[in-house]
Amino acid sequence: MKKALVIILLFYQHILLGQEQDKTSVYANLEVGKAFAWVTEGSIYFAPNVTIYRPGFSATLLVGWVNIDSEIYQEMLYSNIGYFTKMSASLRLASFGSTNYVDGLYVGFGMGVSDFDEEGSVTFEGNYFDDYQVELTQSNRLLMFSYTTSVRTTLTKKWMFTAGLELSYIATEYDQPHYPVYYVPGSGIVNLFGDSADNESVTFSFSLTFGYKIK
Amino acid sequence: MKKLQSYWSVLLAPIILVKLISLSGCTWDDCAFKSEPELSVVFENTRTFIEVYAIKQDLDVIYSNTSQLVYILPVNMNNTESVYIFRGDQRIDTLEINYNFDVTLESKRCGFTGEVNELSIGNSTTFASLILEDGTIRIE
Repeated sequence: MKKALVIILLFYQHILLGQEQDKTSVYANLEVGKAFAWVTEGSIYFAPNVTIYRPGFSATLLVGWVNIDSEIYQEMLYSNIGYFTKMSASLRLASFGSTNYVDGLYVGFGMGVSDFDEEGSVTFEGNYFDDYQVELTQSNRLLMFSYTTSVRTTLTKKWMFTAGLELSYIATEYDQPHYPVYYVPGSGIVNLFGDSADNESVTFSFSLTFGYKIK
Repeated sequence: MKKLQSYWSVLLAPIILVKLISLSGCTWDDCAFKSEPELSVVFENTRTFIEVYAIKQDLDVIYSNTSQLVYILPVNMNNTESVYIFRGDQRIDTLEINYNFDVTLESKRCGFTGEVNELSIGNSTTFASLILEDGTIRIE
């Protein structure tokens, strides 16, 4: 009991000491890499997030929304509309000689939930009878765990830039009665290079993020 | 600023790579042909028909004044039954088929294909002797 109290006191002392030294920064960020990649397809990717920095540590809360159109499946008008939320915590591994405690190489773990609907419209031309149009819709709410690596650097006193790579594991079974899930919002593209009906549980994605210091 | 430029050049490479892959051309000659499914009707003996057509909103004759043995008939994808009329000199026969039209993914590259499954002969069929064999209807 005494040990637990000591640990808690030390923890609060650490926070208070940090505040005294003004070693807490808060950045409001916007992911632009995926947004740029998707917008060329006429899609929308909006993922604002907030990151709190302490020396050697950061924590991020992200809420995102996507409305993606794709031609991934031949002759099908595919759309993916969904929300996702993610939380992650990272540790700074290297500073690259920077004196700013925000700059450096970070690795971290996170978890999140992605809730999305995939809709696909396929039309079969009818030469004698009418055309046949079928709507293939599948909905998923998936739990995901992620490993992230990122390089973060301050650009000015207020602005910073983050480049990140993320490996996600989809822990929930895909519900895919009509076709393999193509894209998990907040996680990444599934089975990017394959042409099979099977899906992987692991996705890979990258991010380019600009941040503005709000505290 | 130089540091930022180097980040961009390295980290935009995956985007460009993904875009190039998605834009890469591919042929789909080996994909299943996507069109209205067809039913083969084979007569064992020659019969002459003035008109052969399927029932739909407008009269659209498929075969006229014919006495061939094999008829290829379109299947209505918007329904689970198709009814065909074989009008001859002396009598008019009806062939009704029931089925399910199922859409499945062939592959990302080929897309989706439709398939007629659970094919059966409907009650309004007037042909006396008829066999359903491997998706083909044989009429004696």
